[in-house]
Amino acid sequence: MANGIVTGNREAFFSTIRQNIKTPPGGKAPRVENPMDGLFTQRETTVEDRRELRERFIQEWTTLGGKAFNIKDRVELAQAIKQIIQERQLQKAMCWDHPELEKLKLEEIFSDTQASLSRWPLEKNYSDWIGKAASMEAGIVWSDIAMAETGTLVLPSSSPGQPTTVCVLPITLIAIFTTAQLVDGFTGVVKLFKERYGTNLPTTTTFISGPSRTTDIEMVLTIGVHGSRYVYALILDEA
Amino acid sequence: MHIEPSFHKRYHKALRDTAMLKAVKNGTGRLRGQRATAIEGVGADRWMEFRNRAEAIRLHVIQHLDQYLEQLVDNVIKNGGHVCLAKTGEEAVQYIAELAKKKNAKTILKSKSMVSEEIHLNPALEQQGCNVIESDLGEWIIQLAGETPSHIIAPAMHKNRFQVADLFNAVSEEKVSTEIADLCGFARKYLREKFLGIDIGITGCNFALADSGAITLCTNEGNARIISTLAPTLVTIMGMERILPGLEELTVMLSLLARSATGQKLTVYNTLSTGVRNPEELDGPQEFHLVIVDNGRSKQLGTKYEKILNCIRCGSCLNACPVYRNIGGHAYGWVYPGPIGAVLSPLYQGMDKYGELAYATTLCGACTFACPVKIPLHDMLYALRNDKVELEKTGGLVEDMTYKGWSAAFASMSRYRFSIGMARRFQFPLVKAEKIAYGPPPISDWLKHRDMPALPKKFFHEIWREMKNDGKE
Ligand code: SF4
Repeated sequence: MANGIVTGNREAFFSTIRQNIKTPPGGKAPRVENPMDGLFTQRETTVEDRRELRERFIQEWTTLGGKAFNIKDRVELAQAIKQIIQERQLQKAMCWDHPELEKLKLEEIFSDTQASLSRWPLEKNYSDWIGKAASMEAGIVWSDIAMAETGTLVLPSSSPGQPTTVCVLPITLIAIFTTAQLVDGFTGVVKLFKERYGTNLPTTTTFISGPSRTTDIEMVLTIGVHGSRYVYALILDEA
Repeated sequence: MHIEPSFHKRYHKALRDTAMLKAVKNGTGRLRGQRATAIEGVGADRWMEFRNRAEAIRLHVIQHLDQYLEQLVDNVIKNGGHVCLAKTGEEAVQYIAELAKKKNAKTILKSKSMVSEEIHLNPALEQQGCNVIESDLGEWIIQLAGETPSHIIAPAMHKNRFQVADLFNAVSEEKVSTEIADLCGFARKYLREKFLGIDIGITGCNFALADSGAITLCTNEGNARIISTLAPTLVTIMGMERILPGLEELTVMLSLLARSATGQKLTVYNTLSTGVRNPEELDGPQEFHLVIVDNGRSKQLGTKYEKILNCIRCGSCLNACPVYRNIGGHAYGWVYPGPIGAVLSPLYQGMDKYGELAYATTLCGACTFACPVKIPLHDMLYALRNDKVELEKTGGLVEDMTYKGWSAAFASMSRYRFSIGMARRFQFPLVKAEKIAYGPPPISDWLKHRDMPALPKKFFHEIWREMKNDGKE
């Protein structure tokens, strides 16, 4: 990718800053090494631990206004998806092109219902896909990481098949993942991010904790003002 | 909206607006309660640890601001984004206005950016024919009302549902009811159409990460990420202090920000974006511009007010402040209200214009206690008062003599007793209902805004002495 351009007098901008920064008596404040230490839960989890984390995730997620399903096998997965299609009266859904979703053969499940499922990319050109994406009633994504303590999905769009649009535009969001994706909280996320990306982060990473909300009118909590109003987490057993 | 130049007039106007005051009391009360519950959940000790850590992180960043900003700039351009280094608000506005012209932009959607309010970006873009739309619900409401935000995180806190319905009905073809759910539903529908026709998106910046060049956007509504996903050209405006070394520091700040602002464990949507999309990607911006704004910030470095740059704009100090809770945000006059505004406005905009705000405090310290990054706000307000006095030496001869006389009278016990005796004797024509109601200047000025109790016939210590003497007899 071509480098961008800097506008404005860089030299002057920074020399003002450098001139004004003074070293206080005792020296400048040192960098905080390991800033997360002791603030967040920090552990390696076993399969058993992650089953407990699932309970915690579900508790947080439902408190936030989401719905969660605990799923043992493919039959239950199909049931859950059909229930959501029914509940939301879905006609059109789109999903990420993700190897894990591919394994679940969602198209098969949808073929049995009133709703259609399109996989990203919907079209090649902006002017074509934007209209299609805007008409979608649900988006299905794979949650690469999920944080139990806050009920948060972590969605790095690390390949072109996993665009933010799918979880941004539709009023219903369905996130699928297994218990293997569950971590306690930020410590687990940062560890995985360091391993996977270093400082070369994906174009977008979204942390989603529940449905879109606002309290801008009279401080009354209202759900779904811009983002998803209905959010579902489908958590499969990792076995 | 016309803004009175004098703080005195502004707060008097606010005190008459009972609907606004009620809404602000209700809003701040709720936010305070939610924050308290969230802290309880974390535990007081761990919360303190969080604050200590956050303070240390911010202190380090600000004292090494040049290094981190240089790193950020290098990474953003490496990621394919452009950077504008704006020393003044005008430079930032000019850059964005030129970009809008170059792109022939008609529809510009914004997510909340206090810096853009600070530099008066919207009017400049509107002047050249752009349709600029605020997409945060609260910001949109006040945009329709032609007002400025009254709270950092709840900009339309002062409006009730009936006022909002009137504003919406002015732009809606169909009648919108006063039900809050309907009002939000209308906003979703109306703004969704605008999102789909977006030419340029403009966002604020909660935190930039130096080591990756990523920008973090935090919204509960999801408007910022719709913009950063759909806008072909994305502009992010950041105050130059809104920077962190990397992801680890960010996790600490996000945990504090949400809890301090609204009592949530995390904001619903935290989006990290490195700007320009990869060639194979279909969504995300094709062009990204990061506008880094100084506009008075670098002047605070190395001064006793340096720590004000640690602020993460959570709004917690507003909710804690008894003055803010009783006058609302508009009385502060500039874009930042409450204790943080009372410090920032005079520092960024000048003592002559906003120096009076140093008195918009009871110096109770509630703001300092509420601040997640431990900015000593009330100490700064006190220091600003001193600066103001120093700067103006306002009183001139009369005030000078009054204070000199005062200090002479109080320095010795006999002179003190004598003065009190005289004052008691001569106060009677000025007293009404046990208060001093009249007086010559400068006392008359002082009495306009404050009650001064009349001197009692006897002080407590005099009664005490008499009682003790009685006992002896
Ligand atoms: S000064 Fe502190 S409490 Fe006030 S807005 Fe800034 S970070 Fe929040």
